[in-house]
Amino acid sequence: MNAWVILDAVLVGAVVLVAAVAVLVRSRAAATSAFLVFGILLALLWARLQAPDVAMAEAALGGGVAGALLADALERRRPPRPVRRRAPVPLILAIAAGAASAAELGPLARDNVADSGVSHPITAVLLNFRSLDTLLEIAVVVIAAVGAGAIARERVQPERGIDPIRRALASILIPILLLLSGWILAAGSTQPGGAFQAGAVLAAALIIGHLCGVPFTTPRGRGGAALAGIGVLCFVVLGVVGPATGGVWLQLDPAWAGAAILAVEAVLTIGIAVALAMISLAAGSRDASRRDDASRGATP
Amino acid sequence: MIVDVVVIALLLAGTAFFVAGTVGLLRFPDLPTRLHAVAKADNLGLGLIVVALIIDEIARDPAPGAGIALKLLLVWTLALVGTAANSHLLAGHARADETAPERAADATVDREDEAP
Repeated sequence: MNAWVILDAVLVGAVVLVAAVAVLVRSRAAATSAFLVFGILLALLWARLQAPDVAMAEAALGGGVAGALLADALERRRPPRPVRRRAPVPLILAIAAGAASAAELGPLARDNVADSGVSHPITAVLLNFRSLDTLLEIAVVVIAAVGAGAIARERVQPERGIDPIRRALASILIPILLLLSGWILAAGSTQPGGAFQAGAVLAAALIIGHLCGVPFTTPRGRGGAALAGIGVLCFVVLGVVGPATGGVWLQLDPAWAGAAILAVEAVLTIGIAVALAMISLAAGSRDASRRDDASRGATP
Repeated sequence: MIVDVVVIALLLAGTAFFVAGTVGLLRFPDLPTRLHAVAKADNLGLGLIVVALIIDEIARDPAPGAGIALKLLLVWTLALVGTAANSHLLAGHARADETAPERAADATVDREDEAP
């Protein structure tokens, strides 16, 4: 038992230390490296908190998608970022408020899971008790994706001239990622899991597919924007059902809430995956011509 | 008891590969040699640790242990595939950088950013 306490203490200390380094260090390369290490350590910490789904999402988003974006931004040469030092009063207030509300709201959510239509507390909070927050979060991601897709419409093109290594990699990884994504989605109603996590894994599959030249894995243009937006649209439709049947906005009848949540989550998974992949591909697209040169040089 | 000794020995051996790989990553001069060091840690270090965990799980309880063992094997296989593909792609890009003069110039400008 004591060994776990020591491990947890070391882990928490390391997370705080690496976070401070990522924020305070002047060199962009060092800050990016620190942020990537931070993502891995945070994923470990989530796993220690018995939240493997959040750990997986953190690893996929913090380590994978965000890591690729930051490494890509590093390639653009800029002077070291300025570091302004101010008292972190707002941050401390936010942490205190978060901790206080968590202490109060946690038991409240746990006591009312039975009314939500799903049996897992996190899914119940995200898609029933707190569904307006989730809707807005996803809307923000979709708006960002549509904007990124519009900016990079011409630049994001399916990759061509793929070497056998990448083709083999795609044929191994993508089926496994699809299976994993589906399982996380289905598991979400009863165990840790859900649309965000499944969407993050599916986005990883899309990005790998794009980089390895798999057909139909490059979300872009109007089709991409439509796919990204369809999840939000379904969520809004679900929200309107409440007022239409005499209830309130986003109210779910416990009789069919479980099935509705699973259906919306399935659509949301696709929307989130396409949106994340669009953002990632658009951000990496400026160097597309350079990258083509490199891969051609690598396989003469 | 014997199982514990074997598990601990395998874990230590795996950790030794990771330490050696990390030292190599920090100390080796260029990309190919660094890739060489890191790939050893990923392949052999992770492999030894996975074997140790499989033995431990199956010795503790064979029924769920077998399922966990399969998942651990999958993790190792995926890491092997990923490491091999990553190393190939990184090395290929590095060689393309060397052969294209203007790209090599780009790479040296990139490094200025890392200076404190």
